[in-house]
Amino acid sequence: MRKTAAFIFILFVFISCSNDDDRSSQHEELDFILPSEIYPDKGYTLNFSKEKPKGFPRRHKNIEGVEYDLIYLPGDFLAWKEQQMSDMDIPFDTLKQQYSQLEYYMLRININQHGKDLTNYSDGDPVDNDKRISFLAFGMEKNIQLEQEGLTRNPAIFHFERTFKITPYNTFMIAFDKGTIEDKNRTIVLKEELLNHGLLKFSFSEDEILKANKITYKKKV
Amino acid sequence: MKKEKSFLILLFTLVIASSVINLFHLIKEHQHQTGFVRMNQIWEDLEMRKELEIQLEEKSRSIQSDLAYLEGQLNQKARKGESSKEYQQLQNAYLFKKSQFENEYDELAAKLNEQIDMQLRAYIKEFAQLNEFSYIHVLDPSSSLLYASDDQDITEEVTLYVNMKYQGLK
Repeated sequence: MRKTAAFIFILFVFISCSNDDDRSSQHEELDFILPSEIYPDKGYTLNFSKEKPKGFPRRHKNIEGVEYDLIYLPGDFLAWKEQQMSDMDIPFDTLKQQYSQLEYYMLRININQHGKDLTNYSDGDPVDNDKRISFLAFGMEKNIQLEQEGLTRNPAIFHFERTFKITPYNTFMIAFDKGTIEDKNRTIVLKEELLNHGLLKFSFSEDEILKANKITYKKKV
Repeated sequence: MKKEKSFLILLFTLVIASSVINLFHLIKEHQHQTGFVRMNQIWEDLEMRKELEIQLEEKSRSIQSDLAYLEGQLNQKARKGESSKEYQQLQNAYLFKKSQFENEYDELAAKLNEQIDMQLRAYIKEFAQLNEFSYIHVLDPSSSLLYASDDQDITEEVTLYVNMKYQGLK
């Protein structure tokens, strides 16, 4: 009798406490994204520990149903990813060295409309679509800058990945010269012209960047 | 026996207390949380507006300097006493340019206002969803809300969230 009563009491206390915990843990994970979420088909596994972040720092904006995600990608990760995909036996350290000169970011813009992406989101004529593709490939680069305490830097690399409307999102790889970036917080500013969403800012702290750089990767066996 | 009875009473009281707390949480969760904002105050403290207003001021300065140049030319012609036909042509050109510049300025102002409005709505919606608000009302002289208690005023929290979101800090 005593045991049953004690069990019921513990159960009540447990139910009372469980809801709030769920909410707080969801909020904590908002700023990070796992590589498996960025590249769902690859199934990457990385070595995350308690001191290291749960994923890569990510900033998210949703303006009028259009989702903007800016993700910081450590150079080591890109080197590791290339090694995983490549058939050639390039040493990991060599690839790491190649990726060490720049600071990489991935911008993903999701239009959230079936069968549509940034190139064909509105029912314009094909000429409009071609103009949009041309803008995304060559014009948009001029609208992106890295800002640190009022000083701006232009991208050293800008690449628009075409998905030919298979996905509702478009991906852009952006890289800035590490030599020009100071060890301070940085803000990536996108002057969005295509959808007239205006100035979109994505800030990352120096600490976040340093933590993400500490993630280690399993070498290819 | 007596000891067992008092233990059971204590346990029963604790279970009841725990149920009441649980019920309270449940009611709270299903309650419609509402708040109101003073839009004028948010607009006043909006970082995005302040930055875009600088853009507008720059545009205005550039227009003023172009118009001043044209006006100078016009005055020069007037001083030289050139024929009224030529003067009239230049004056027409000046008026045309002035109206063109004004249109450009108005277009830019409308575009920037639209950008502010879109981002502001998006961030307020996000704030509401994150903090489980069912409604956020606007209290200003033109709104249909006649009265709201001060403890429901979330203007400061919303302004802080919107500015942080605009700066990309969240």
